[in-house]
Amino acid sequence: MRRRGDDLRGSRVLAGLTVALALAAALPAAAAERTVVGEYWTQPG
Amino acid sequence: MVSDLFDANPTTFIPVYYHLGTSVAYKPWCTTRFDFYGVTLMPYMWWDGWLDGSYTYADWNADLAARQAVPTDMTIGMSSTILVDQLVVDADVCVEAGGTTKDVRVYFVVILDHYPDDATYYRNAFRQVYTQDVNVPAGDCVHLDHSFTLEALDLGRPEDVGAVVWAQDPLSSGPAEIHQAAYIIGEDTQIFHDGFESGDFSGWSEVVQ
Repeated sequence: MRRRGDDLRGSRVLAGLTVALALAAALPAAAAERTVVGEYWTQPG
Repeated sequence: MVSDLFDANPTTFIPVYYHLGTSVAYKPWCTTRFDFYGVTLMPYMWWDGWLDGSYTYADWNADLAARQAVPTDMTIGMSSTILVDQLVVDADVCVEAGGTTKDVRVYFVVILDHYPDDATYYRNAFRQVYTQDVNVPAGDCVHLDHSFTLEALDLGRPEDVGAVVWAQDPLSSGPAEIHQAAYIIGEDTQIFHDGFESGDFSGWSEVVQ
């Protein structure tokens, strides 16, 4: 049975979800862990 | 010492040694990379093609930490397998969703660990290289593969054979930033390991007959 106020609560939930989705879209991609390359030159002592 | 840094950072750092002068490990590409960065002294280090480590090895620990802290939006997944005399390397070079589309030069490098044999601190000697320029869109991957014909020296010690893949800005001289790298050394490059060739499957977690 629907009660008075359900529509309002529903719209607030929808608005909250919309804000959460917008925030998620605005976040930068999670940075990947970097593997560092060291190019190293040497010669016989 | 570089080998100590490698031992201490086995999953986030891959050194590639270029041996010059009269070294038995000399390859012409060692000079090519020497000239690419305009190096004039040895020993010398360049980090990720971007940070000039110079010859001040006392700073190299901090240099490595500085590069490890730089975020990247690239990932590289790779595999490598020795089949007869071929080292087959596959790589998926990707830019994460939300990252920046990039033109990169992908380097496939074959290395031989613990070579030359006259110093225990010699690691990952350069052996061969293959490069390919690609455009990697954000949120997408590019698949690349290459087969190297290994020399007799490498085939005689497959446990030390490795492959490194890195994605670098496609410039004609350094600095040129390396955005990401991946590598595999040793047994992971071999299909015939953990007793496979002898029929001893005790080292395998799953065997389907």
